[in-house]
Amino acid sequence: MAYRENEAEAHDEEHHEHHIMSPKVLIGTWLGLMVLTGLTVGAIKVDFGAQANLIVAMAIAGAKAMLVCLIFMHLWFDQKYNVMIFFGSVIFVVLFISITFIDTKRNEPFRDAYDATNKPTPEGRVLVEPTVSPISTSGSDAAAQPGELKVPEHQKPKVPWPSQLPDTPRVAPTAH
Amino acid sequence: MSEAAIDADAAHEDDDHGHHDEPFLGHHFKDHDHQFNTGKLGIWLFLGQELLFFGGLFCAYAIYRGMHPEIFVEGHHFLDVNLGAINTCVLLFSSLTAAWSVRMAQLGNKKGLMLMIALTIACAFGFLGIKYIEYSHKFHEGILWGQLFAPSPEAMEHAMHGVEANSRLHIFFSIYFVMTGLHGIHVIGGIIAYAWLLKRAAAGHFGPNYYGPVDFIALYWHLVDLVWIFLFPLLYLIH
Amino acid sequence: MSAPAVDVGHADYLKHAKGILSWLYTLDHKRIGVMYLIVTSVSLLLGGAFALLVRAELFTAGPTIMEHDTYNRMFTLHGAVMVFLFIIPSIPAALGNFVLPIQLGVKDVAFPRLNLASFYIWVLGACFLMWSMYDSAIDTGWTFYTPYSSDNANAVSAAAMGVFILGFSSIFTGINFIATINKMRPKGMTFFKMPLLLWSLYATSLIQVLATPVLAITLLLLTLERTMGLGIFNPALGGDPVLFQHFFWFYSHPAVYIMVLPGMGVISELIATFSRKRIFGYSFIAFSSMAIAFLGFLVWGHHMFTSGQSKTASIIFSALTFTVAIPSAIKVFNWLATMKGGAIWLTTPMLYALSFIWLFSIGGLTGMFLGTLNVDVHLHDTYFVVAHFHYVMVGGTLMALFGGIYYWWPKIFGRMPNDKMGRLSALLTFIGFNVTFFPQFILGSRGMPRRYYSYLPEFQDLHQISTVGAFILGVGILVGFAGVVMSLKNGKKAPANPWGANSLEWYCSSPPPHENFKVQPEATDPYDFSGWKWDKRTEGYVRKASEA
Repeated sequence: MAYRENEAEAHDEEHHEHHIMSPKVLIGTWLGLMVLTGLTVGAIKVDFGAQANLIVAMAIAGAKAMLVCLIFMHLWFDQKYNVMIFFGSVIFVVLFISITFIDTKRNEPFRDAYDATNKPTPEGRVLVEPTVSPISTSGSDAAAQPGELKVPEHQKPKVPWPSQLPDTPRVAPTAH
Repeated sequence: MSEAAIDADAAHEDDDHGHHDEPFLGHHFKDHDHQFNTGKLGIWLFLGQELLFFGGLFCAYAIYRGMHPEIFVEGHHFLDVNLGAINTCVLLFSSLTAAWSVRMAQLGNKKGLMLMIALTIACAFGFLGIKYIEYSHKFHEGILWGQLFAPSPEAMEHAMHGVEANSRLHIFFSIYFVMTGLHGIHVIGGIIAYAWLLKRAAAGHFGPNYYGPVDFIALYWHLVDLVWIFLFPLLYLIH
Repeated sequence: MSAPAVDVGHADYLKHAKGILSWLYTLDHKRIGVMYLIVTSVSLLLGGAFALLVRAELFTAGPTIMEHDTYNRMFTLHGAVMVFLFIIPSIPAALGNFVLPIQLGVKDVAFPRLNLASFYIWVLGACFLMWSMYDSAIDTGWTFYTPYSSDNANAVSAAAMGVFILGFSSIFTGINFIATINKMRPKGMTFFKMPLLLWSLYATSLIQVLATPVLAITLLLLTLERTMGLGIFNPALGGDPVLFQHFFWFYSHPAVYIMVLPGMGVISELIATFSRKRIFGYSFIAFSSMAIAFLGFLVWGHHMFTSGQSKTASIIFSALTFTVAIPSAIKVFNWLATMKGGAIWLTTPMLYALSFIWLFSIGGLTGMFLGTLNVDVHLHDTYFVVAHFHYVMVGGTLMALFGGIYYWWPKIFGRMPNDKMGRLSALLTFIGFNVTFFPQFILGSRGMPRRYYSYLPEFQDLHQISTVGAFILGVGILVGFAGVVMSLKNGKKAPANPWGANSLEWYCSSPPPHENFKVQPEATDPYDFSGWKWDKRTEGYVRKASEA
């Protein structure tokens, strides 16, 4: 990391010229963004293959993002440290997503086994009975039948389980 | 809103904390340039944390798309590409007006500045209006998130053409509603920030020497636009 | 380099304005720091009370003083209060807020309003957390793991929103510190001439800005999961609970370094000052702070070796975990090398610093055991883990905090803390801490699982030793607080520079004037102690030049 070694230099940097965007550049950038939007909408008519479709869409989105960052957000003319912060944050987002992504295959065997025993319901949702943690009860609950699970009041779910909901309406009420 | 806090800081006015001859210059800054550059660094750091904040949602998206790509292919049939594209254009235009508002402030053009801010706010409301049309249509058809996902048979038939839907389709809508919903909340935050800016612009606070808040809020607004630039293809344009 | 004149004379910040409102509306970083110091200290006492209740319950197997449900809540609240209300804000927001701008010679942090906002956001978050305790205290553990946290009926949503809000307080402090250090350094102070405390606060702030938002989104999703049935983390709805752990630890592992890095910065200052010797390997210590901050982001999966994470990911995370040991060890070696050949002055802060080095080394080295993939499968979720992270967090951060409080107390309040009580407290906390947590390494390696309400009879002796130790530690902490608080009433008036240190905060009076310095002074060399000499009359250090 190269930090400025000389304070005099640093203070010169503070007094940079304020950069004013010309109308030509602003409108040109905007037109470029509109063209790229048209391009990405048009691209769904063409099938490049499952992975390539995503790559094409992300490449166009990336190009649009660069236009916005570098020109509308002045990063092209800005101090290096601000550029570093922004793209540094992007790098951390990428690290986060890509390292987590290593782990996507982890539960396939479990998931398949689970799906095999839990057929989807007509509504298209996986419905599972709630499992209650078998915590033994004490004191006042001593009268409970042996083998019966008593759920302490605070552990009962407040949000009803899907299976406990009254018959879910096939058509939900309008949103008002 | 925190960006407003940074702006307010770059400009606090009480006599305890101000240069006597310069109403908008903090007592701990050397001059306007020093204050502007510090404020700008602050807003960039804030945008960095916004990126990580949305990054979590993009991560959830990536993981589910990696594990269950089929629910994304099925899910996007329920969305209206035209409305999404129109909204993209509305936001891009508002980004143009936001960038132009900075130019107007730098030139000291008060009327132009107010016009650009007003246009940006109008676009933000336009965006929310279109989003409202999309949302209410979905609510009407029972296309909701997670546990509440109960689409009407017509909506199901319209999107799936008789094919049985994947059992995890509701996860797509959980992701869709959280991502667009949080983005919408950021749009509302932007409207509030711009309303504050409009008031200050009308009072004639900004000029070539002092325009930090205009620049900082425009940066925030561009970030909101950036997030949408990625949301649009990721949610609407799948095939 | 001409040294700045010692700045004395005008009204200090405590007397500058009067009345409770002048504190509540203050934009002065010093007053905000003091307010943070008060609220985090109260949080420490609250979290400590929960800890003592947990240890008292474990004095015997089975019910001792409470039922299992209550026990689950006690250890959860102990963790949540200590982590989110105490450790994370303690050193940066309390001591850092006070010291950082003065070490830079500026009048305030870059964004004073944001600073005050961060304090009130902390208060709001704490209110949410307190309200969740009152409503129905959570028993999920401080980690909020799904699916238990998305299903049970306790006030998890309120607690999660509380932590969400506290996160923004932490982010704003981070933004403020980075902007201040970047843009407001005095003439002559390049990055590599800063006091090392500033380097460690800088690294901490970077983590706060880059990691905390991920915690925010995680807890927001958890809250939506509970209130609206989102299903992203809930397996009953087709969601993925392991994804929650990835999200949570992407923040919470770096957060471990938010907790310990500021402590390392404080220790660097203490060791150099009280060895009366230039710090050894300055740039190594500075860079190791940045390296810890960066590497800390790449190792979160080592919390998930046994949670169904894929083998590939576990192996990568295990390997990366070892790399964090390098910068941590560099720091310890440099501190030891600084002390070698120095004129060591065993003041109260130095005693805390020495116990930091001892305890942090044990905590760090046992972390290596846990980072080893196959060993961790045996030790995961046992008392070994509990002992390890308490050695790092309590042995590290708490010792550094007390060292820092005793070191800067004369500057903050203008009174010398009670030395005898300070020494007694340093001794009691060191003994109490080891008696509490060393037996837990043995318990854990023999298979005692953490968070259990009861245990097998063969574990009873070690559990009882541990409980006794916890109470000694508790007494030590109370004595430590008493030593400083009582000095406010009858403490000796503090000189401007009681320790002969050379960073800028010792150049203004104790307590500092309202605006710290009228004009920003030129930078000093923080590790050159040769310019000061002991003055019998004021019982403090004065510049040699001013005598001549």
